[in-house]
Amino acid sequence: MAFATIGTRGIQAQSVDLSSKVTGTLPVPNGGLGIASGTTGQFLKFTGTETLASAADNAGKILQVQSSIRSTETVTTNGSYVDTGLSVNITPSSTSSKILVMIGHGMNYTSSGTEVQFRIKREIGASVTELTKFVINLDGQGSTGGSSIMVLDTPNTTSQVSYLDQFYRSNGSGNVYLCVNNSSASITAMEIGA
Amino acid sequence: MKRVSDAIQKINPDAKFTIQNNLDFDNCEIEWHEGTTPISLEDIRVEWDKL
Repeated sequence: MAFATIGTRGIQAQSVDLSSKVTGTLPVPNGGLGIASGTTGQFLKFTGTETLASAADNAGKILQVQSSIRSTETVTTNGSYVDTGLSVNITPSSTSSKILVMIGHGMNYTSSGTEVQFRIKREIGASVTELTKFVINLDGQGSTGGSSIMVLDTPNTTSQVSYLDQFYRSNGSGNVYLCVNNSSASITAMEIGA
Repeated sequence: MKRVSDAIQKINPDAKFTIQNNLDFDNCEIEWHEGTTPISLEDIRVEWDKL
Protein backbone atom coordinates (compact mmCIF):
# COMPACT_ATOMS: atom_id res chain seq x y z
CA MET A 1 0.00 0.00 0.00
CA ALA A 2 1.40 3.36 -1.02
CA PHE A 3 1.21 6.46 1.04
CA ALA A 4 1.75 10.06 -0.07
CA THR A 5 3.51 12.37 2.22
CA ILE A 6 3.06 16.12 2.11
CA GLY A 7 5.65 18.17 3.68
CA THR A 8 4.61 21.04 5.90
CA ARG A 9 7.50 23.23 4.92
CA GLY A 10 5.49 25.12 2.20
CA ILE A 11 2.49 25.87 4.44
CA GLN A 12 3.11 28.58 6.89
CA ALA A 13 0.79 29.95 9.44
CA GLN A 14 -0.01 33.52 8.52
CA SER A 15 -2.36 36.14 9.76
CA VAL A 16 -4.63 38.32 7.64
CA ASP A 17 -5.14 41.91 8.61
CA LEU A 18 -8.95 42.10 8.31
CA SER A 19 -9.05 45.75 9.22
CA SER A 20 -6.94 46.92 6.27
CA LYS A 21 -6.47 44.07 3.81
CA VAL A 22 -10.11 43.09 3.32
CA THR A 23 -12.50 45.55 1.74
CA GLY A 24 -16.07 45.43 0.53
CA THR A 25 -18.61 42.98 1.93
CA LEU A 26 -17.73 39.38 2.54
CA PRO A 27 -20.45 37.00 1.29
CA VAL A 28 -22.34 34.94 3.83
CA PRO A 29 -21.07 31.56 2.46
CA ASN A 30 -17.51 32.83 2.99
CA GLY A 31 -18.17 33.63 6.59
CA GLY A 32 -19.23 37.24 6.16
CA LEU A 33 -22.53 39.01 6.64
CA GLY A 34 -23.04 40.19 3.08
CA ILE A 35 -23.67 43.73 4.30
CA ALA A 36 -21.38 46.70 4.75
CA SER A 37 -22.86 48.18 7.89
CA GLY A 38 -25.94 48.60 10.02
CA THR A 39 -27.45 51.09 12.40
CA THR A 40 -27.32 51.08 16.17
CA GLY A 41 -30.20 49.09 17.59
CA GLN A 42 -30.78 47.02 14.47
CA PHE A 43 -30.49 43.26 14.33
CA LEU A 44 -29.65 40.74 11.61
CA LYS A 45 -32.13 38.45 9.96
CA PHE A 46 -31.87 35.95 7.10
CA THR A 47 -33.56 37.21 3.96
CA GLY A 48 -32.59 34.09 1.97
CA THR A 49 -30.57 30.92 2.44
CA GLU A 50 -27.30 32.84 2.01
CA THR A 51 -28.28 36.45 2.62
CA LEU A 52 -28.58 38.57 5.71
CA ALA A 53 -29.96 42.04 6.19
CA SER A 54 -30.16 44.52 9.02
CA ALA A 55 -33.59 45.48 10.26
CA ALA A 56 -35.16 47.57 12.98
CA ASP A 57 -35.60 45.79 16.28
CA ASN A 58 -39.37 46.31 16.48
CA ALA A 59 -40.89 43.33 14.70
CA GLY A 60 -44.03 42.29 16.51
CA LYS A 61 -43.81 45.13 18.99
CA ILE A 62 -46.73 47.42 19.72
CA LEU A 63 -45.41 50.77 18.57
CA GLN A 64 -48.35 52.96 19.62
CA VAL A 65 -51.92 52.75 20.84
CA GLN A 66 -54.74 55.20 20.13
CA SER A 67 -58.14 54.87 21.75
CA SER A 68 -61.46 56.62 22.03
CA ILE A 69 -64.38 56.10 24.40
CA ARG A 70 -67.94 57.22 23.86
CA SER A 71 -70.68 57.23 26.48
CA THR A 72 -73.70 58.75 24.79
CA GLU A 73 -76.59 56.75 23.42
CA THR A 74 -76.97 56.56 19.64
CA VAL A 75 -80.12 55.30 17.93
CA THR A 76 -80.98 54.67 14.31
CA THR A 77 -83.90 53.48 12.25
CA ASN A 78 -81.99 54.02 9.03
CA GLY A 79 -81.57 51.48 6.25
CA SER A 80 -78.05 52.41 5.22
CA TYR A 81 -74.78 52.89 7.05
CA VAL A 82 -74.43 55.77 9.51
CA ASP A 83 -71.67 56.62 11.95
CA THR A 84 -72.07 55.31 15.47
CA GLY A 85 -69.97 58.26 16.61
CA LEU A 86 -67.05 56.00 17.48
CA SER A 87 -63.80 56.61 15.60
CA VAL A 88 -60.05 56.75 16.10
CA ASN A 89 -57.12 58.26 14.21
CA ILE A 90 -53.62 56.79 14.03
CA THR A 91 -50.54 57.72 11.99
CA PRO A 92 -48.37 54.65 11.31
CA SER A 93 -44.63 55.11 11.76
CA SER A 94 -43.86 52.74 8.88
CA THR A 95 -45.60 51.58 5.71
CA SER A 96 -44.98 47.98 6.76
CA SER A 97 -46.80 48.32 10.10
CA LYS A 98 -50.02 46.50 10.79
CA ILE A 99 -52.91 48.14 12.65
CA LEU A 100 -55.13 46.07 14.93
CA VAL A 101 -58.50 47.76 15.37
CA MET A 102 -60.84 46.63 18.15
CA ILE A 103 -64.35 47.91 18.87
CA GLY A 104 -66.72 46.93 21.64
CA HIS A 105 -70.15 48.25 22.51
CA GLY A 106 -73.46 47.24 24.02
CA MET A 107 -76.65 47.40 22.00
CA ASN A 108 -80.39 47.03 22.27
CA TYR A 109 -83.42 46.52 20.02
CA THR A 110 -86.99 47.55 20.53
CA SER A 111 -88.49 44.98 18.18
CA SER A 112 -88.02 41.23 17.74
CA GLY A 113 -86.20 40.15 14.61
CA THR A 114 -84.45 43.43 14.07
CA GLU A 115 -81.21 42.82 12.25
CA VAL A 116 -78.20 45.11 12.37
CA GLN A 117 -75.08 45.29 10.26
CA PHE A 118 -71.84 46.75 11.52
CA ARG A 119 -68.68 47.59 9.67
CA ILE A 120 -65.32 49.24 10.15
CA LYS A 121 -64.58 51.89 7.56
CA ARG A 122 -61.06 53.13 6.88
CA GLU A 123 -60.31 56.60 5.58
CA ILE A 124 -56.91 57.74 4.31
CA GLY A 125 -57.46 61.21 2.93
CA ALA A 126 -60.21 60.84 0.35
CA SER A 127 -59.67 57.09 0.01
CA VAL A 128 -62.43 55.11 1.76
CA THR A 129 -62.34 51.33 2.27
CA GLU A 130 -64.72 48.93 4.01
CA LEU A 131 -62.51 46.61 6.04
CA THR A 132 -64.97 44.19 7.62
CA LYS A 133 -68.64 43.82 8.44
CA PHE A 134 -70.97 41.46 10.23
CA VAL A 135 -74.63 40.97 11.04
CA ILE A 136 -76.34 40.62 14.43
CA ASN A 137 -79.88 39.43 14.93
CA LEU A 138 -81.03 39.12 18.52
CA ASP A 139 -84.40 37.46 18.97
CA GLY A 140 -86.87 38.90 21.39
CA GLN A 141 -88.21 42.37 22.00
CA GLY A 142 -85.94 44.52 24.09
CA SER A 143 -82.99 42.22 23.57
CA THR A 144 -79.70 43.51 24.79
CA GLY A 145 -76.30 42.22 23.84
CA GLY A 146 -72.72 43.10 23.32
CA SER A 147 -70.98 43.34 20.03
CA SER A 148 -67.34 43.51 19.14
CA ILE A 149 -65.44 43.91 15.91
CA MET A 150 -61.76 43.36 15.26
CA VAL A 151 -59.69 43.62 12.14
CA LEU A 152 -55.98 43.49 11.37
CA ASP A 153 -55.26 46.10 8.73
CA THR A 154 -52.19 46.88 6.64
CA PRO A 155 -52.81 50.43 5.47
CA ASN A 156 -49.38 50.71 3.77
CA THR A 157 -49.01 54.40 4.58
CA THR A 158 -47.43 56.82 7.00
CA SER A 159 -50.29 59.28 6.57
CA GLN A 160 -53.05 59.61 9.16
CA VAL A 161 -55.55 56.76 9.04
CA SER A 162 -59.09 57.08 10.43
CA TYR A 163 -61.14 54.07 11.48
CA LEU A 164 -64.88 54.61 11.85
CA ASP A 165 -67.53 52.36 13.37
CA GLN A 166 -70.77 52.32 11.36
CA PHE A 167 -74.08 50.51 11.58
CA TYR A 168 -77.59 50.35 10.16
CA ARG A 169 -80.84 48.48 10.57
CA SER A 170 -80.59 45.90 7.79
CA ASN A 171 -83.90 44.18 8.56
CA GLY A 172 -86.92 44.56 10.82
CA SER A 173 -88.70 47.62 12.13
CA GLY A 174 -87.35 48.39 15.57
CA ASN A 175 -85.01 51.04 16.84
CA VAL A 176 -81.37 50.04 17.20
CA TYR A 177 -79.53 51.54 20.17
CA LEU A 178 -75.83 51.65 20.89
CA CYS A 179 -74.36 52.74 24.22
CA VAL A 180 -77.77 52.04 25.75
CA ASN A 181 -78.54 54.33 28.69
CA ASN A 182 -75.23 56.10 27.98
CA SER A 183 -73.14 53.01 28.63
CA SER A 184 -69.60 53.09 27.27
CA ALA A 185 -68.23 51.92 23.96
CA SER A 186 -64.61 52.02 22.87
CA ILE A 187 -62.44 51.79 19.80
CA THR A 188 -58.73 51.05 19.98
CA ALA A 189 -56.11 51.03 17.25
CA MET A 190 -52.68 49.48 17.88
CA GLU A 191 -49.73 49.83 15.53
CA ILE A 192 -47.72 46.60 15.37
CA GLY A 193 -44.22 46.59 13.91
CA ALA A 194 -43.69 44.28 10.94
CA MET B 1 -85.59 57.39 30.93
CA LYS B 2 -86.63 59.94 28.30
CA ARG B 3 -85.43 59.51 24.74
CA VAL B 4 -85.48 61.98 21.87
CA SER B 5 -86.29 59.06 19.56
CA ASP B 6 -89.48 58.35 21.55
CA ALA B 7 -90.58 61.95 21.18
CA ILE B 8 -89.98 61.86 17.43
CA GLN B 9 -91.85 58.59 16.99
CA LYS B 10 -94.84 60.01 18.86
CA ILE B 11 -95.09 62.49 15.98
CA ASN B 12 -94.03 60.23 13.11
CA PRO B 13 -93.77 56.50 13.90
CA ASP B 14 -92.27 55.81 10.47
CA ALA B 15 -89.52 58.42 10.65
CA LYS B 16 -86.05 57.33 9.56
CA PHE B 17 -83.36 59.01 11.61
CA THR B 18 -80.13 58.68 13.51
CA ILE B 19 -79.67 60.49 16.81
CA GLN B 20 -76.40 61.03 18.63
CA ASN B 21 -76.83 61.69 22.35
CA ASN B 22 -80.37 60.35 22.38
CA LEU B 23 -80.95 60.96 26.09
CA ASP B 24 -80.07 64.66 26.07
CA PHE B 25 -82.54 66.83 24.17
CA ASP B 26 -80.45 69.98 24.47
CA ASN B 27 -77.29 68.37 23.09
CA CYS B 28 -78.56 65.73 20.67
CA GLU B 29 -77.78 65.66 16.95
CA ILE B 30 -80.51 64.42 14.64
CA GLU B 31 -79.98 63.22 11.06
CA TRP B 32 -83.04 62.59 8.93
CA HIS B 33 -82.87 59.79 6.37
CA GLU B 34 -84.65 58.25 3.42
CA GLY B 35 -86.72 61.28 2.59
CA THR B 36 -88.19 61.74 6.05
CA THR B 37 -89.52 65.27 6.47
CA PRO B 38 -87.54 66.84 9.32
CA ILE B 39 -89.52 67.67 12.46
CA SER B 40 -88.74 70.97 14.14
CA LEU B 41 -87.01 70.95 17.50
CA GLU B 42 -89.93 72.94 18.88
CA ASP B 43 -92.38 70.19 17.96
CA ILE B 44 -90.07 67.51 19.32
CA ARG B 45 -89.72 69.51 22.54
CA VAL B 46 -93.49 69.46 23.04
CA GLU B 47 -93.53 65.66 22.91
CA TRP B 48 -90.33 65.42 24.95
CA ASP B 49 -91.96 67.37 27.76
CA LYS B 50 -94.90 64.94 27.76
CA LEU B 51 -92.69 61.87 28.19
